Amino acid sequence: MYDTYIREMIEAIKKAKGVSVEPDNRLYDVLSRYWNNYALAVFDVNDVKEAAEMNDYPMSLSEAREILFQVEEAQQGGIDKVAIDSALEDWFEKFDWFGKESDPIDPNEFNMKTCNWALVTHTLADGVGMVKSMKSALLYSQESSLGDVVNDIKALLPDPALAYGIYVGHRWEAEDELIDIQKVAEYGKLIWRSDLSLNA
Amino acid sequence: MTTRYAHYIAEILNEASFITEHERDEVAELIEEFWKDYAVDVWDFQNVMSEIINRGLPFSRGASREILAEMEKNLDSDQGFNWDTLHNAINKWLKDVSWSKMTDEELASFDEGTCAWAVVINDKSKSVEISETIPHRLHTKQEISLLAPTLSLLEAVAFARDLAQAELSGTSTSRKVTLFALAIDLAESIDAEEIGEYGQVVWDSRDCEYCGRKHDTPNFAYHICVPKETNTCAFCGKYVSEDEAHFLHEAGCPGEDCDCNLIAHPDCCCDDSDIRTCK
Repeated sequence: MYDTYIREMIEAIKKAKGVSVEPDNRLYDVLSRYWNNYALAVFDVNDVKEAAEMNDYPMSLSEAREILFQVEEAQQGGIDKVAIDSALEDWFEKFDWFGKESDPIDPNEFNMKTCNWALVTHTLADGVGMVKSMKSALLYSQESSLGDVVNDIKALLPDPALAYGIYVGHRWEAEDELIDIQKVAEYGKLIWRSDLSLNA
Repeated sequence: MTTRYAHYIAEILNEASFITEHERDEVAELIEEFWKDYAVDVWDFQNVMSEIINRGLPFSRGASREILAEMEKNLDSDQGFNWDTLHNAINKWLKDVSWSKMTDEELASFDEGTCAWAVVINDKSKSVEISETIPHRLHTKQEISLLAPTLSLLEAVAFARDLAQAELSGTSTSRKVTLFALAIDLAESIDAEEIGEYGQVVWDSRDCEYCGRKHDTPNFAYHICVPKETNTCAFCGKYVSEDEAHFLHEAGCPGEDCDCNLIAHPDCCCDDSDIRTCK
């Protein structure tokens, strides 16, 4: 195990009451000796962030940790970045954005700057859930969290003829925050739409 | 990192008296919490041993640590570890290891039962065979002894040494003894040619314990390669041959403050001079 992890682990252990690493750094020696019996390949939340960034997926720290946990659990003969990519894909496919009332997510946590956001206003046909057209789109940069987009949706007046969709994507060019709807439709991924969500 | 490792570490800290038993669970939780930001692929002794068994090599805890350290050293942060990484680390270790220079203590540590042993005695004094398949190639007559995997490397080497010694003290000096490590499942049915091909030479009667190379005779090796400071008479400072170097007290030597246990010429130590004598 690399020294940095041992040092960081010591810092974590020192938080426990009564643990002393003084006077001779013996704790380092003990841990170092223990880990000499192992070889470790360590992947961290930044690897998940990097993969999410490549795919323009939103990411939170807790979900990144969950993905790492899944990767570690599912490993058979090694972990690599392909395994992280694959776990991320699985996670994105299955993730229920705002869907579970019993276990709602905190949209503010999705703030790892891995994607741009677009808030799209859809015109509904007959107001019964069928999208007729994309009326307008509003861009949010990577600096924003999902919570920022959600808060803006909440501030809008409800209109049965309209639905609001949250798209994620990358490098949309915007002029005064208004972006080409065609680009959003082509390159963006819809993660949530107000007329399809229980929490709309 | 799995809960298992966190608890191992806490247990070790408890045993080393860094924490009390009451603090053990708290520390395990802290360690687990720390590792939540990471996914860790841990390779250990068992992983290395399984590959070593496949390849029929001697194995020790120390060798495992060296191989694992080599894996970590060459870690590709995209690829992580895989069996190829381990395979390459074992190759590197095998390339660097010097069986002939190992002390008996080091030899004894290779005791994990990962390989069988074959002692091959190459006897030039016996008649040679002409190969049927390769007519112009002369084959030296060979005798093979297979030893059980339960023996340590030191025990296998001791067996081979005895054979070589027995031969040295006999009439012929042309026999060479070589100890091979080989895969356990191969050992039952392997022949001499295959031992050379699939086995790993771990000891040879011609290996020089100083330079690691093969010399024609052990005596020649001793004179050429032995470090000169250990090869010098403690009294006269001149060269001492192998046979003279470790002479014992002479009968009747009082023992106390005697220099006879040093490397010395017998004449230098046990003459009638004032000081350096046991007589």
